[in-house]
Amino acid sequence: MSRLVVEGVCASYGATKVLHEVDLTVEEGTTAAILGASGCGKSTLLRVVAGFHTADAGEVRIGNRTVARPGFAVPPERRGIGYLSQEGNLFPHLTVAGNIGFGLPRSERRDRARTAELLELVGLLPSHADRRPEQLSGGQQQRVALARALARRPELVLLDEPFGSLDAGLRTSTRRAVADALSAAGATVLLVTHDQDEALSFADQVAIMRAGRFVQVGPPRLVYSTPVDQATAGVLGDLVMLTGRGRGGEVDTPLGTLPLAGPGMNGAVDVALRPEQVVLSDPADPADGSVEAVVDAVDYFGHDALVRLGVRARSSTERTVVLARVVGVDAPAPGQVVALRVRGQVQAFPHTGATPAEPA
Amino acid sequence: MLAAVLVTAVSVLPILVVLANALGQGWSEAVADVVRPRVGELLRNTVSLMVLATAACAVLGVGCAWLVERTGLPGAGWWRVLLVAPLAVPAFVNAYAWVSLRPAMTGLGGAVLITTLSYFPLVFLPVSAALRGLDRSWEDTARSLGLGRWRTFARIVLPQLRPAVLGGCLLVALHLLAEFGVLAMLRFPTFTTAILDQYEAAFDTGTGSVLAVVLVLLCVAVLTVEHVWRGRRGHARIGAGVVRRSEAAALGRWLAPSLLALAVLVALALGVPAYSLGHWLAAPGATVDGSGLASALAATIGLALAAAVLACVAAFPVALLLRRRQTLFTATVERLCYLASSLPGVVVGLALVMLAIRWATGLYQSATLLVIAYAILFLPRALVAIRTALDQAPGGLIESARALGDSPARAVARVVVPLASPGILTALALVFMATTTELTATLLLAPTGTHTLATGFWAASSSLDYGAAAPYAVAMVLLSAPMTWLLLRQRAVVA
Repeated sequence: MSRLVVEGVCASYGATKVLHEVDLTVEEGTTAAILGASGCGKSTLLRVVAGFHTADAGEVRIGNRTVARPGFAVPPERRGIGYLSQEGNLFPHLTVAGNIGFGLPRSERRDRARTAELLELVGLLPSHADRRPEQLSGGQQQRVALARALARRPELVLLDEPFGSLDAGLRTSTRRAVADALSAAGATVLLVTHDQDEALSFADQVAIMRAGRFVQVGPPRLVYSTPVDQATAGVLGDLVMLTGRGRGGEVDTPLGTLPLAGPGMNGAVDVALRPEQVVLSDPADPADGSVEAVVDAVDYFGHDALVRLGVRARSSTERTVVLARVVGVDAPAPGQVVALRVRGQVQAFPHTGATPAEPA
Repeated sequence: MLAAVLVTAVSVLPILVVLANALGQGWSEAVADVVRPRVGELLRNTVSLMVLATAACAVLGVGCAWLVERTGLPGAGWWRVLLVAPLAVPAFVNAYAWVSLRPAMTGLGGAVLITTLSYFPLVFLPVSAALRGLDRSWEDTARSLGLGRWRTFARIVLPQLRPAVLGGCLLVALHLLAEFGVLAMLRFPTFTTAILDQYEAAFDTGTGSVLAVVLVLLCVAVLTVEHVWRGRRGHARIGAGVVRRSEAAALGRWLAPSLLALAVLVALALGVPAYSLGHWLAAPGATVDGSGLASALAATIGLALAAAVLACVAAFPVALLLRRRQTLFTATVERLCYLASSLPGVVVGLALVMLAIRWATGLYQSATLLVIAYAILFLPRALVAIRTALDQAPGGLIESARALGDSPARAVARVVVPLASPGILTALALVFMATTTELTATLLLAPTGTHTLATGFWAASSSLDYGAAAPYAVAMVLLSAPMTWLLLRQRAVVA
């Protein structure tokens, strides 16, 4: 297992520059997720690390071995990587066992016990060994593809949107199985995804990429709670945006005076908080610092619900729209009047002048 | 990469040789060769045959495809086979079948009739494949947007068929420009027949080259017209989900007339040659020269096998190159390969004769040169089939193999070859069968004393010995009959 270091990597397709001086370090045995919209360059970075794409500049090191620098590139087959793509790319002319053994030396290919062990590692039964790829579901195919990649005990595992082609139910269970297998194998992992849940739940470190650059890199909790800018905050999940006026470590907003995360700010600011920070209670028995709000609409998901509320400050006629995430059984009805308060610290960004976009 | 460039260069060689030879005799002489009443007549004949027969093939091909694929016709599967089968009968055998029964059938009318009956499957095949592949959901959407049945057909179905119709017509037009056997038999002179006459009568490669250059220009004109009409836009299916096939539109009272029309067409295209061959085989006094036939069969099979292997070996690196992301370079290689092979056999034959006489006398009249000519002519057939085969092994699979420790060559051997082998066999078979019925280049290049089935047939039928020609024709039809099945399976045809 080895540490991955990417330093100053630039890459392009033809005349289009895709990556601009990208740096990233993934510590030995940890998992990093690159999160970004499609076309931001995240897959290209993965392909540069894998050796499928040649960088224009910069260096890639796996362990203490430099695998790419200007004018020099180790071919993919000698980088000691495991690679799992969105389609899985199982070889259609081979059985499951044939696929898992593909990368092994000839003498180990027929080792049934090793195949069974690998199948078990990814949560499949040994009886799957003789199936053909087309007889497997999408999630099973991805697990076999992972077993195939892990069979060679790679130093580094690269996952390119590995759950993207699976439907929602399968995605969660496959993700769990893959995460368990990877942590059992103790591999260093680099995951590329556009799904924030996947990035946050899967990784020890999340790197947000936009237009070929990393805008923020850090542990999931930190990146989620203290994003560097509004766009980054929006990539990671639903947002409530307010306008406010900073007073050092606090900010005055239509929802009351709230404590700020990070350094204090003064003057007009945009304030961001997460819907789960908004707590609703009975207006007849309001908690301290509550304001009154009217429920406009409710998106009910069963386990939880996203409630859209309107808050009218006493001093003004302006109506502020707020989202709250509540447990499903507590979901109020549209038109209901509730008391609302904010829990925890909020994030402030310099005011952009533009009216904050209404969260989707 | 280097191999692909080499293959492309060899493919383009004939054009350069013919051009150099035509200009080599001096500009004024070349102009004098072109500006003659005789050339005017050839041009008129060539163009009128091409326009009339291509239009007839388009109408027959689209009509038949519609009837077979979209109307719930009884026995549609059988009709499909019967309508592709004429491709297994070489056009010059078809001409022989008609002329030997009705010697008066000469000139433009006869030429249009016979070439249409031989070549309409080239339109039928791609159009019927396109109709079968059409996604019903587009038509459903059009209907939901308020379009009636006929407007839906005109605005949704026809535009989607356009590439298939144009592609088929392009093939027909190129075949017509290259056609020698039919037109020589019907005494209808075009550029191709004139080049061969010139060469055989006077051994005049100068005038022949000038005529060949005009012929090449006609090919380029045809390719350009098709390219412009096809336009740039493709039809891509967006979004996931299963392609839903269209339901049949019942023919109702048109069923009987439709069946009758198809039956007449099949009778003309297949029945007449079958009857004629049977007639001449059974004719009293017809003696089959068994040893001559056997040696011709052996020579044909040997040459065809060699050509098939050479064409496929040459096509493989080109196909691998064309899989890469399209660049100006790969696009150029592709165009040049297809352009070189849209050349009529007579041009390739003539060019190789001139090359051999001047620079490689050892190759002149050798089997090697003939095999090279076949490989140049039929490279695109191999290329299309091998590219289709390589699609069975998409790039992602190769990357997976690389990530699992395989070098590029090992990845090709362990992943691409096993997945592509059925397609490679198809490519071999397609070139093999095309070679067995090639006449024009064979006449020019076959070593003295070597008879193939095609030249043996040609010698006999040219001396009006129809009975002696029949066994050769039957052997050619039998050798190329599996093509029907392969083409139905492959659904992509090339010149």
